[in-house]
Amino acid sequence: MNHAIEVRDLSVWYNISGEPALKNVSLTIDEGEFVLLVGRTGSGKSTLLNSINGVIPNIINAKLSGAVKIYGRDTRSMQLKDLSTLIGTVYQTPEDQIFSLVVEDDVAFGPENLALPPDEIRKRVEDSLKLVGLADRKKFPTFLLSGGQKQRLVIADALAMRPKILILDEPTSMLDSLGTAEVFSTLKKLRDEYGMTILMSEHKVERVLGLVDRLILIYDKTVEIDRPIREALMEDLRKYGIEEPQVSYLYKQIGGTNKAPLTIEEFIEYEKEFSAFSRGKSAAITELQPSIEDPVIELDDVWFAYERSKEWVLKGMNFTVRKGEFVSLVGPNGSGKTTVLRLIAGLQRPSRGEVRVLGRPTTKMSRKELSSAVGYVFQDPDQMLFNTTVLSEVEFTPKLMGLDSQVVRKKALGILEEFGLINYKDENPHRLSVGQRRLLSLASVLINEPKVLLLDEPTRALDWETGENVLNFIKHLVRERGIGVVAVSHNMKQAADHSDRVVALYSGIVAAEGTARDVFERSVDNPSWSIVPPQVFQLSMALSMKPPAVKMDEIMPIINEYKMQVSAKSATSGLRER
Amino acid sequence: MNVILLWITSILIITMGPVLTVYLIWKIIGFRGYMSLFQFIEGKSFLYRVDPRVKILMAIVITTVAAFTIWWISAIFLAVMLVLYIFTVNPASKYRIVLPLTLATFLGTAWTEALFTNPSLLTELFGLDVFILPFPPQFQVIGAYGLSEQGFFYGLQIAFRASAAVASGFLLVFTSSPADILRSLEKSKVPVELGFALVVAVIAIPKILESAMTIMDAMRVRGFDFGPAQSRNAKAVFSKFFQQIRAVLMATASIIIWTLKSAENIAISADLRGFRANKVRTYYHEVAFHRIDWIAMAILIAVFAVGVYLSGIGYGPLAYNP
Repeated sequence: MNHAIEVRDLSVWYNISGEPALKNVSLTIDEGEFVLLVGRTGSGKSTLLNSINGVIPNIINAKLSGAVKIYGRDTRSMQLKDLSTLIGTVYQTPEDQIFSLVVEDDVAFGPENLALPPDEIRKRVEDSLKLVGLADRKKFPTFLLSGGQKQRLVIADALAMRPKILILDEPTSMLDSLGTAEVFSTLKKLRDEYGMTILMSEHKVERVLGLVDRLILIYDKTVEIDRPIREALMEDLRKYGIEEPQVSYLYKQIGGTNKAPLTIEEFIEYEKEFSAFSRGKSAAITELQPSIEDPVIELDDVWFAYERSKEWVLKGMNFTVRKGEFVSLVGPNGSGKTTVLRLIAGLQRPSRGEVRVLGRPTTKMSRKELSSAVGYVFQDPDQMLFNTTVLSEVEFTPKLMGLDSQVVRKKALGILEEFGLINYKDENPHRLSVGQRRLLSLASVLINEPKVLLLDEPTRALDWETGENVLNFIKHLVRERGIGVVAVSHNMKQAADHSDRVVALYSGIVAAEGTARDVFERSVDNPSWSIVPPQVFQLSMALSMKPPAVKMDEIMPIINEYKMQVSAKSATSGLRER
Repeated sequence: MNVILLWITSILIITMGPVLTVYLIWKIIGFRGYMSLFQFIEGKSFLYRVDPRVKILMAIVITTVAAFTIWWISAIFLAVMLVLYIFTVNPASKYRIVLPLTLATFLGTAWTEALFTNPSLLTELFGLDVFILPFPPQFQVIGAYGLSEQGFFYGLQIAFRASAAVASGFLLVFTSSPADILRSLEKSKVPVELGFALVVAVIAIPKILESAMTIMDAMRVRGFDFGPAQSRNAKAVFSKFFQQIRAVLMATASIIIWTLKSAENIAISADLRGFRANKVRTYYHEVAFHRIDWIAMAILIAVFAVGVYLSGIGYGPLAYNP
């Protein structure tokens, strides 16, 4: 029987004289399989996906060697229009894949292109929207859909072509936690109820564990691991820059050697002894004492509504960030997180109340004073880069401030060195990789030595290792320079690992504030906050630990204690046997 | 009048029209209002049921009849068009956008015609005798002679024609989905690529504007002040002016890069959904004339015929001279 997808010895070159973007990749995927493709940013995942769906070389010009077969047919002998009825593709940014202003029109676009009879088009529109749970949004304007709904619409667009295979390239990298859950539950339905063959690249490994059958890891442009998911998780994925699910990591730490557990329940089932041992124990708290330093940001009963809008975005917001504190701002889309950052940066004025930076109301500070005090790194680094070289990008703000050009040059070279970007100083910023562009946007802000740093989803679209490097670097700056940081985040593992305090926003107010532990504990009874605590927290709650652990470091002492007990036991039983 | 003062006054009067127009659009409807222009919401009234081709024809008939009839017929058209907005979804929100835009068109046209109409035409029509404010002779190179009462009167009459045409155009945009306009254009033998490009452009405009605002915000948080110069010193004012030009150029380059990236992704996604896979497309919504379309067509033909008749009996395009 033919495989759904068969890739044999595939190599791809964008530039004939340069390095290949993929080297000798071979893999097969059978009908009905759900395969997860992982790898660091720039490892070649998108190149592989685009070679399978025919975008390479039909639309993107590249040289290919080897073969790609779909149900036994070589893609080079097929036209893109024929491939598009076999393979549906979903990319990262939903806005770039929606062409109509009304939901049903967008789904109809593909079948219309195939010149199908109107009745068939109508049937496909109905069926596809039903499959993704948007049947009640048929007449809805596409621009009013949420991020998750937009990406589900894009999946419906692909399904209307009636493909046998669905390819998804980081489909949730632009979505919040709720949108991500919506997309994954749609994919689960497609797999479970319709047996769809799915190949998806995704950084959020932990979120897709219950969905996927197999994991393929691309490293250094080729396939490094290709194994069923439970076996693949027994490998050291961190070595390749990939985030490991906390339960499988814990399982390996305890000494588990069989197939890795995927859920909390499975972990407890697999590790009955450890679970019994750790039940009711206390996690080793690693939090620091609350800061007593001077406040650098104060929000004092802040209300905000956009001009001509009667709806309040913020309804009496109060919180303080102190010198040297790293505060994570969490909560669902529309809860006011980005508005808070914009108010602190002075891009908006509060309708009521006061925002103070370094003790002064932002409304009384000039643009120059605000820019000196507050550094703001946007969600999309590309929108912060507008100079022609990396060096001029970093020099932009200090030059505007009127600093001596020799001093500015020295500082710029220093910070580029510190960020590992010195070798790219004469490159155009837009030619850098996504991780490097993120670092450059950060360097361009930090050169001004702000006392306050605002980060809007600083690790969005970055792979785990790059994301960790960026956050560790920021934490280092917080400790070294005493900067106060506010970071908007949808990644609760990162919020727990890196922040001193977490502020949860909901519907324009501070719903909870405190340590990550305090906020996670309260979020259990408030699912509308859209907070999905990390697995280690969920596990320790299931094991009635008091207090529960929020990061791996906090549960490791219990594991070590358990391992010592096990080895002591085995030593004793060994002696007895002798 | 002092020559320098005359120059300054003349420049101010000439630039006031366009500045006032842009200010009105920006201040009254704002960025969000402008974006909502391109965001179609489906409704149920007869306006939404009429084929987009009929609405395109309506805009053409109104513009044509207005061009060859007297000013008050355009005024009637304008009034009728504005009344028709009552039948749109959430008419208050539509009026919030259409009224300032129509007013801006009215003022902009009236101002331009008042200042730039050839004096010989004004003399012929109204017996122009004297300018309230004659501009310096050098301004005649750009066609501006001076400010006159007759010029204003003429401008107001022409403004009704332009405003009626604009109001009918927005009615099409508000009551037809771009996909239906695309289907109608294709049915009328307009190449599918052109129609698709138009629709994508309509959808892209709000995204590009949003991106432009974000990039300008990024410049502000990185220290760029788009406000006026803090000092009245000439050197500081000019330095600020050139800084702002540079900032706009940098932002433009950034927007172009962002737009090109997005355009490439759109092209890939469209091709993956079979765009141009076949020479002929079929349509999800039936594109055919119904009874309501024939009735609307009959009304439009009647309007055209009445226009021709009125023009023939002395209510032609010549300006009304009280």
